[in-house]
Amino acid sequence: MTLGTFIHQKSYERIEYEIRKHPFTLVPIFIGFLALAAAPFGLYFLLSSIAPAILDGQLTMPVLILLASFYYLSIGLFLYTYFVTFYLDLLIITNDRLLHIQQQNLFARTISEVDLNKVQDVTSEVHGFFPSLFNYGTLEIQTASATEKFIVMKIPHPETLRQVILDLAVEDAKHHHTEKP
Amino acid sequence: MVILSRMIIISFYVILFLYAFFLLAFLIFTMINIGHLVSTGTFTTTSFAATFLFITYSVIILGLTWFQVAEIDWQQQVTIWNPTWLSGAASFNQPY
Repeated sequence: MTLGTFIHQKSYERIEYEIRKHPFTLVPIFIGFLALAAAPFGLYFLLSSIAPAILDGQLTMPVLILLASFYYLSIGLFLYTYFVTFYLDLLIITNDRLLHIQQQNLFARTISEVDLNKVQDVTSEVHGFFPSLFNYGTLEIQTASATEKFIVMKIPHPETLRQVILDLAVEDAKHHHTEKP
Repeated sequence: MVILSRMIIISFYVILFLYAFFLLAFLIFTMINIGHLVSTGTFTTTSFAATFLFITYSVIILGLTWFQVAEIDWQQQVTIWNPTWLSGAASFNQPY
């Protein structure tokens, strides 16, 4: 399946941009993963100094190995699931509409869309040290449709995207005007 | 409070069953993740690379686990409860 099929792309429609959150937003979770991965080593050195018999026990040692395996597989799966959630959270800009796919978690997804000719106002905001350094921020799209406001957070180059959306909205409005008899 | 008066002994391989049950859940969640990527048309080079890294990581962990536990005798019996462990607790009911 392609992304076009997923969003029911129309025959005249072309996907202009696929925008995900800035990759830097993955860094804290990756640091957390490394810290969690290092924790059992600390526990191992603690046990080896205060209760070495536990590590050599005929029964305790296999249990600890299976627990460690369970732990490392769990944190790996957590990181992978976080990445999938991150990767599925997507703003799609076509020459006809905007689609915001919000993947809250593995079992919760919201898809909202608005025609470009319904876009009234677009605001970009870059706020904070890391957002300013890596140029990511929030994009607020005010619309005249039932979904009044699109808020897309932590996306890269919000100022550029703001201008892109406004330009595409103007183009789409021209197209809609010429369609009128 | 009910205190079991009999010893409870289990075979060590019960722990392996618990681990196998976890592996099944792990496999299901992995398939759900990959299924999401494929069904939404987002199985690109980036997501393929992430999936490949995750599978490699999982195979390494499982391989190391197997290497560590291959020699263990899983048929041995384990006492998980023995009422004599609490025999000292009876002194709580003794009068002063």
